[in-house]
Amino acid sequence: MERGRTAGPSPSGEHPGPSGERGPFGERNSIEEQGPAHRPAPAENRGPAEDSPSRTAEDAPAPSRTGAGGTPPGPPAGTDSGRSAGNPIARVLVVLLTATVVVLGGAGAVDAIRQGAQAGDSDKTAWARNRQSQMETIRAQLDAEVPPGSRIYLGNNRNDLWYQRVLEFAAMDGIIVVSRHEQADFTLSVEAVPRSVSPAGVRLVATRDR
Amino acid sequence: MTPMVAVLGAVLLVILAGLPVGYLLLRDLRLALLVAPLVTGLTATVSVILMLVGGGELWWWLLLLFAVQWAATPVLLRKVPRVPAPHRSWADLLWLAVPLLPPFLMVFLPPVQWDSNSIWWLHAAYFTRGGAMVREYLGLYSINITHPDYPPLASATVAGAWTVFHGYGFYVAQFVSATLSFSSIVTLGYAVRVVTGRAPALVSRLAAVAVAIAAWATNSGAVASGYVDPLWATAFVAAALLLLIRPDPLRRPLLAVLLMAVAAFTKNEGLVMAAVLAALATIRAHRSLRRAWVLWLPVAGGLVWSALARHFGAKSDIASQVDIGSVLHGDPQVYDRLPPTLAAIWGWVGTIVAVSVVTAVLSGLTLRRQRRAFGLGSDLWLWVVGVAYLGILSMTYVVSTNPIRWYLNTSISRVTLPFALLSVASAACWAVVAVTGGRTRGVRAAPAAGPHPLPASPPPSGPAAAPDDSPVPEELGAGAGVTSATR
Repeated sequence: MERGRTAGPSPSGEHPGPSGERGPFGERNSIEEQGPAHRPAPAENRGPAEDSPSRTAEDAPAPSRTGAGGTPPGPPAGTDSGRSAGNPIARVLVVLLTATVVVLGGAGAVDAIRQGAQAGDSDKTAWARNRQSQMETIRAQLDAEVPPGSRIYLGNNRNDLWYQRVLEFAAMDGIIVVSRHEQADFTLSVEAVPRSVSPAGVRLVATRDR
Repeated sequence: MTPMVAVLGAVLLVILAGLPVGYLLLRDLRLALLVAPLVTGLTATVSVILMLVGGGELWWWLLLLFAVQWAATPVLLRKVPRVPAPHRSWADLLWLAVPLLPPFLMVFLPPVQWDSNSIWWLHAAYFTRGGAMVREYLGLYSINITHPDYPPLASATVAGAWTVFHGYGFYVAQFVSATLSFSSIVTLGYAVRVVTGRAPALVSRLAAVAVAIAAWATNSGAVASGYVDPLWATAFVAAALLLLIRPDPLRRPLLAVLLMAVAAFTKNEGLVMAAVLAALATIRAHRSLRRAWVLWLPVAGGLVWSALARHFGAKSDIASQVDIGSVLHGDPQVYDRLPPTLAAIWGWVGTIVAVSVVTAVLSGLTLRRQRRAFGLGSDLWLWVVGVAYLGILSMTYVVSTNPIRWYLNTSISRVTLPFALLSVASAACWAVVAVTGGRTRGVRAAPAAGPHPLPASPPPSGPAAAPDDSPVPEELGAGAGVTSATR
């Protein structure tokens, strides 16, 4: 951090701006302070229909503080004049370290590609497809057995998968899940059954309470 | 209607509905396509809030708000000066979007993830049932384990799609959720592109892709399966880059404000971090405080939702469990939760953060002047954000009464994503400075003396006018004799 630097060019060719304004961490706070290097995007960055004189928000130069030209005095930022590009060894090290960070950060994306490529592989996704089939089964049974607008009580534990799935399916049907048995029109629970009883291996048990 | 038609229709709907406002913000159709889903999500969020307050059906409010947006956009386009956002070429669009597509293949996996169903799509389901039902649901004891107080953006967007494509298709929900995440991640890449836009295009684009790809860093299965952590985290880090690293962030803050709103309306930690970011950006812009008020709008919006949800009975698991007395009195049972929490955070992101810190320290010692000359804000801002998030996240685990092992095992991989994103963003910005040596694209060393070799610059009153010893804008054309040593 370099607080309190005054206006005027630094030995490195930087220019802190006419007023020497800097943020709490010593950086420039405005485009005005960055000199003429902040210019319209090169033609390559402009779309084919962007030949109008309008400029981009980032590239449009700011109103001048110094009169014509819009450029504060002193060597402009971003030029080669009188400024080092930095220690080459340090620059290489920074790039290598960043490459390490990027590899660490990108490993998950590689894993996602690998998993996504298996989406069509029925063996690799058997568990998820079975769960999907179970969910569709319970949802269809809820649709069939409990009228919309009913109030239901769920027998399963609140942290149980099927308690939470039936909550979800009930909301889709406008069914209210109550927390006390005596308020309910139906009591529901989901139980595991042999696949001979239900191909999905689960079924909804609904008991009318009133 | 076949499920695949419904899925495609829902994705198109989410993109097209937000397109006018997206275009109004960025003044370019290509970039508008990238942020349009986020606009749709925010519009759906406002619709849910209006439905909660005013009653009626969700689709009424959606129809009304989108009709107003579509009608008002042409008028506003005429009244507001056209200032297109930068870096809007097809090349930029493809660089930002194409590398993200392969990891999104996971969207085709069966939509059975626990929290996606138990929280986000459950909320979406009752959002479709009208204001009266939503008010009843928010206060139900039976659903308070599903965090009904959580902000509504992701659920509201899915609910909006379900009001058009009936049948509550889970693949519709998963694709709509993934579209929101994709939009947020690609906008993060765009934010990096904007911040590093003074570098040669290839360098800037590589940095953008590197940061965007890190959205899969901590939990690769969460991005395209209906979880919302990547949505808020990428939106938040994108806003942080635009507000804390870009020079003069308040000059055109609307994209950053939109991203902050996405974070604040997606998850409670997003709201808290949006407030932190607003505070930091306000400090950074302390010389133009009159313009900083806009940064607090997303925070205010998030607080409105929070207050409404609580008014109608929604309970926050954190707020309802926290025992402030135990925290203040240093109860060992509370603070014993801190070591495993920090260990778990370290386990997920310790290495990447450590390498990034080493990068930042080395760079800070050797390239600080080059960074400043390049026009990037201080890297310390990002680390302040990271430390703030570490404090908030640790406190969340410490004060909760959930069993700590279970709590960490079920969530830590997702909630540590902001650390990874901030680390990669910090390193990527330093790498851009290292590669360019602080020189900016499109300029070359000025001659020591003598007349400028180029034809006259634009008129002196024009914005590109520059003194004779200034660098030459490359857009004047290579044919005019411009060379670029930094390209």
